[in-house]
Amino acid sequence: MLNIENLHAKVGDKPILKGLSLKVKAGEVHAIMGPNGSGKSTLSYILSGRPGYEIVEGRVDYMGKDLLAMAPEIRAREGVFLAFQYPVEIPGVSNKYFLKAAYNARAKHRGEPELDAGPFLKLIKEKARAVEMDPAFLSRSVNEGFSGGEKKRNEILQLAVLEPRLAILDETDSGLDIDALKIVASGVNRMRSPERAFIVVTHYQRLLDYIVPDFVHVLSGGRIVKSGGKELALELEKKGYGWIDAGQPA
Amino acid sequence: MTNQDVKDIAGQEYKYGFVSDVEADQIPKGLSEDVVRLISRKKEEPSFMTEWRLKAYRHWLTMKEPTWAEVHYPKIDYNGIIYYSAPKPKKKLSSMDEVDPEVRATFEKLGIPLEEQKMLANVAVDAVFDSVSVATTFKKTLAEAGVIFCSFSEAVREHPELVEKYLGSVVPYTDNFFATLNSAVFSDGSFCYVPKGVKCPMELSTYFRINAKETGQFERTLLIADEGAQVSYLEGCTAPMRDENQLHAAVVELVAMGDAQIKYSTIQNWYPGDKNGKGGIFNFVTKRGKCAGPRAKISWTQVETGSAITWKYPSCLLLGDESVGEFYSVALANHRQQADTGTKMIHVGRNTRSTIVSKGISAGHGQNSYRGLVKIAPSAEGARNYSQCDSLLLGDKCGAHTFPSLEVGNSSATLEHEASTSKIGEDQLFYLRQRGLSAEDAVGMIVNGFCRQVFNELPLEFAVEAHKLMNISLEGSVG
Amino acid sequence: MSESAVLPDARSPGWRFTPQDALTRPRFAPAAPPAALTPLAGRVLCPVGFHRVALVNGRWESAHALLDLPAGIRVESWRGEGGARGGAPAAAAGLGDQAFACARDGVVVTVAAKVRADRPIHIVHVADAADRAQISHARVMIRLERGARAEVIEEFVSFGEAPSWKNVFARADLDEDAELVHYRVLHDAAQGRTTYALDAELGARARCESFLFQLGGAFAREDLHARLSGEGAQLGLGGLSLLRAGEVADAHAVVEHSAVGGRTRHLHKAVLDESSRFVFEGLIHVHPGAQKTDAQVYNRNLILSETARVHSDPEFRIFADDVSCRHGGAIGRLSAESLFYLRSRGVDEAEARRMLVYAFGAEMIERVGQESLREALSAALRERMPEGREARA
Repeated sequence: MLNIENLHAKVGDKPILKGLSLKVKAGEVHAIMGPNGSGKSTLSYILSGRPGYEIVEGRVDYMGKDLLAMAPEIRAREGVFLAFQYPVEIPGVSNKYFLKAAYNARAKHRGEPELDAGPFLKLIKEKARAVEMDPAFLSRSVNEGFSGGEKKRNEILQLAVLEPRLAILDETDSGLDIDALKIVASGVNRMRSPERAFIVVTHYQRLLDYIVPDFVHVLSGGRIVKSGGKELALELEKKGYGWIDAGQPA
Repeated sequence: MTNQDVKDIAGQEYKYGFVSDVEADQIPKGLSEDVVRLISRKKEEPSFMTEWRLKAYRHWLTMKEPTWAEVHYPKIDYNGIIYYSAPKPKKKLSSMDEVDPEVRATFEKLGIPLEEQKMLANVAVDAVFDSVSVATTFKKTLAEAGVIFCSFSEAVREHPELVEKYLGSVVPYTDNFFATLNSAVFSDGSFCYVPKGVKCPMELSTYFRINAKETGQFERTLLIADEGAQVSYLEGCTAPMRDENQLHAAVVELVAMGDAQIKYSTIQNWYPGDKNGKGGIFNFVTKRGKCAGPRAKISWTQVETGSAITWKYPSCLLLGDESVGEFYSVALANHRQQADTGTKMIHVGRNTRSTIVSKGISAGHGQNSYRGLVKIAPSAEGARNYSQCDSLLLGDKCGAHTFPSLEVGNSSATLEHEASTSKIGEDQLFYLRQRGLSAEDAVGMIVNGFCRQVFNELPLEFAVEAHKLMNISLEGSVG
Repeated sequence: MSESAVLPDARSPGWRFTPQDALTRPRFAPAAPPAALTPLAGRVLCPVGFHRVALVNGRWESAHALLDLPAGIRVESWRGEGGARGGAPAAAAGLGDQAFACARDGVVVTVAAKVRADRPIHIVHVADAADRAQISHARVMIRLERGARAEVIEEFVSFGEAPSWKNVFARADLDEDAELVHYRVLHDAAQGRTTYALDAELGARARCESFLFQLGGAFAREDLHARLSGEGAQLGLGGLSLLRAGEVADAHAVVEHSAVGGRTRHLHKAVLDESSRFVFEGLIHVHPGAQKTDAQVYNRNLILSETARVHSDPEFRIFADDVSCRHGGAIGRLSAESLFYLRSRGVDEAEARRMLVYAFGAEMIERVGQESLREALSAALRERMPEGREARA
């Protein structure tokens, strides 16, 4: 589904990714771990098309298409979803109105029927229940005045409504207490399917207790320096990132 | 905004810019006492009206065009304007079928059917075409409730005592340069009187359309809600695309007696000129309401997306104790548009309250100014005001300016004022695009969110219209 | 030029709400040197530990000077050695141009690059006792070279019963990375008037804090004009005006942001009692290209009497899109709920009122870093508290 080949990227003059390669197949869950500043969030942003990053080298193939050539909204409509580490507040725009616009933009792009207000409301109410979100949040402005946990839950609600092919979760566990983490993780787990892939970006192993990955990659210095199964995360937790850095060839 | 995608949003033309081929009864260009008399004669007015117009004209000759507003425009040649233009034939209409089919088609095109059976919503419409009221719907239903809703000319003929009593009682003919000019030459407009204790059974609405070339549009609206009466009034405006500028100098007077409530909503979409600032309406409007009795309430809501120049300050004179004034405004200045708008809240009565919420959006080379005054007279014991004015900037060639003024002459008054200026955040834009919205839709959504507090004050059908209008008006401008 | 100031048209912008009577009546004659010098001991708020100079009736007075300056700092008479370092005004607002033109003398403060002044520099503007109404003009130049730091406190006093008027023009030039803390402490006698114009220019990363503490005098007007012309300059403006009787305070400020990343925080508070009057105008002008400007203007007023009047005008002109600008104003009286709360805890009403007024003003005084000055201001604030107003509530 996703094939990242030798990706080099920089912000301004500063190189962040230095030859990152990664293959993700449908149905797989890949965890990307790494210390602060290793380029984890940069990878999430580049895949979703956030402006401000310069691709120096490499390519990203997504479902047989050149992902990097697409505008951010086209990537979204093609099924790439980023759950933001810091979800953005949009004052005055209600959650449900925003979700409907996003849902219908995607449906239209795919030639699927768009939904009217009535059926759509029914759909999101069901989805909201699944992530244990108070339906009152649907009428509130997008993320405005939400607590950290509510914002993350709202991201998972959007994930559930938009049903992406490739979901990238950027530090979804940050700022969550254990109960909120469980709700978010179960929301994600319900979405796992043979057609859908996940990239779970996290600093800590804790999230991976609840969203169990098929593969774990360690990102350091802008490259993947180690890959393995879910047990790699446990090892990292025990030994710390210093273990990787020490073992990394200079 | 630096985001290239926003800059690239493509333009869409003003969609009401067509011209209707209607034969018009026009008088020659220029202004003099004779022209004022001629207008009065054409309207078959009683002598008190002619005299009032002449007093206004003579006073106008002593006045200077104001220069304090943050707007710049070429000198207006007041003798190069046609002060009266009416669609022919001008015989009295006995039914809707007699409205000139071309005029009727114009309003159909604007989405305002004049046939009552076709009216979808419970809205009575007065349609004003080139300064003259051409049709008023639902008159019978309204009459049964005791509500008078008609063209101003008809009111002068049928209810001269009401006109004489209230005309100029809120905006005197000496008020300001443009209001005084209007007092001399106004040709028509809407009139409404809601009697004591009556809640008007439907929304009232006036649609203004400028069609003829080189004409000035000078309407006058007078709306009176007698004790305990309630009325909601909507106003919409469009004009053809023309290369030259046209002057629109209207006056709106509202009178709310004790316990009466008036809600006055405007969607102003006069032709704004092209993206280089060619053409467009010069909109110099005086709107003022008087809360004459205790617990009266006047609420202004305006969505100002059109006009090359907007100069407009819908105000409230709060005389009655515990009376309430409100002003909710969205003003957009795109391309070369200039908007200088705001409100005055004059607190005179005890425990009077006022609320001001103003949202200004500047895009392209647009210049948007909020100008306000909250004045607490020494008599206004316990008066309160809350003001909020927010500006949103789209692009680095536009400007946002705020000139709020607070004057307090009573220590028991409480005033709070907050203002902010911001641009659309790159992170907001990216967030929406990541969910599949185009850059254009994302900008529209953020701007509409910014305006929501004001749109919420509009009657439902108008809110939807305002929402769409905002999206259209934003297109092609951003960058 | 005549040495008596000429006032602008009462209808001109910036003067429309200024009651000019206090400046037009009586007629002010040019000030002569005083017959006898009034000693400053006990009459100024700043302690003697500061570097002190004084202008008496607009003239440098050596008898009042207490100077023991380290290397790199000069505090000189404009008429004397300082003249060469004085310079001319770039933009003199209000009556500043007249002050500059008519002044016979002034003070020039120069701090050399990277020098940090060891103690505050205290400039006392004195209108000494006279037997007729007099006006004096003076210039002040504060020049901080690159990376220099200084605190300058200008104190305004007047002695005697006769009306007096001090008209001062000041210029503050801050080179890159310079830092100026500038206070004006104004406590004129009942017949004292002060008009003050400041023209400040901030270079890149320069920081300037300029506050007014107004504790007395018949009339005071300030016209501040600040230009943030270097990237990342930071400006703090504001003041506290405690007004009573028929006192008038007229605070005008124009801040121009013409470089990237400038920051302004402007907060002026006024407490008005009896038939006092306060006028506030604060304009922030963001020029094209001054992106990332972060500016706030606030004016908060507490009115204690029925006859006090406030006119407040915070304004913006913004020609750059990537800015964060806020302004706000509030005019109100003491909160009835707060008063009740304090009384319900056993505090008597007069004391409760004093506590709340003090709390309102203290926010500004707490910004003063110099402890001795802060305490002096705090004591002055307590002294100006409304007394015996219980009956009026």
